[in-house]
Amino acid sequence: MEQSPEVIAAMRQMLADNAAAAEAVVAGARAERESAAAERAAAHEALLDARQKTETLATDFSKKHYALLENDIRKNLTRDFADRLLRAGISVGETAQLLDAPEPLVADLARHLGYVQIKPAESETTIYAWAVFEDQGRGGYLTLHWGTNSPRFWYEFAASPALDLLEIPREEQWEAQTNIPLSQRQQALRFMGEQMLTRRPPGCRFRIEVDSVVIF
Amino acid sequence: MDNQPINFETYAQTLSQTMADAIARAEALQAEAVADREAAHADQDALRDLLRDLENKAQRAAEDDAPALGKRIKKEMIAQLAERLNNTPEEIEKLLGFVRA
Repeated sequence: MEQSPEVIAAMRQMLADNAAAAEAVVAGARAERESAAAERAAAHEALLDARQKTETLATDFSKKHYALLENDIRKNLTRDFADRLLRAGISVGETAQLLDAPEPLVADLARHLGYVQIKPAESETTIYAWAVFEDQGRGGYLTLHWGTNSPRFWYEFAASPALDLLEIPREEQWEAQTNIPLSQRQQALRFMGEQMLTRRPPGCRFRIEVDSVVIF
Repeated sequence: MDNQPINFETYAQTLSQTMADAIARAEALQAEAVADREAAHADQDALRDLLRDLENKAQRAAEDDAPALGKRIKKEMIAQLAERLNNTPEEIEKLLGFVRA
């Protein structure tokens, strides 16, 4: 059969296209091969490098784990020390300062211990208040932690119908004996009255008198 | 332009052989690539194992040292408190309740 020039040209084009397609298949596979070879070389180099530097790597890991451990230990000890300082009557602010601890952490511990956050009269800032009872038979001492002050007050069982009697300095002696501003006296007495009530059944109340807080 | 007629049989054979050769070559290259990637993964696994072993050893060594480290840090903190409160470490230990007052 005779082939027209157009048919011949088309067939030559087909051969050329086929060769190009074949080359593209090989080129794609070659590129994949080169990429894999590069990955292998990089992985091998990284492994050899690490094997040569085991001492340095070990030292770095050691520093990292010692630092983590030290941080952990310090955090736990700070909490423990803060708890102990608060129980010893050191105020929240001072405890935080002494231990270089965040005040919110210390405040949280204080709240767990029973400290109450209070905004004293005529003061812009809040303080933490806590009452600690020391029973001694028919009476005992109430230590009021009021900010940085910690005055002690004697309380005892009272004659019926009263239950307890907490002795307090009169107004004119208040500041000298407690170091708490007179403007905060009523607030402090109410706080102590509330704390005394926590030791009595529900339904009891307190009354502030000139030189005592009476629980009945 | 070369208008010499093309032998159709040769033409057909050339078409299929060219592509068959390319595919065979590509498959060989792909097999080499697979081998390379497997070798790379083996080295990566070995590296991971090496690093993990080193880190585990370091962690265990630090943990073994924890009691001694804890004592040292506690002593440092007591000393720091003593300085800040203008007191002795012994008095601070009493304040904190570590020893009986």
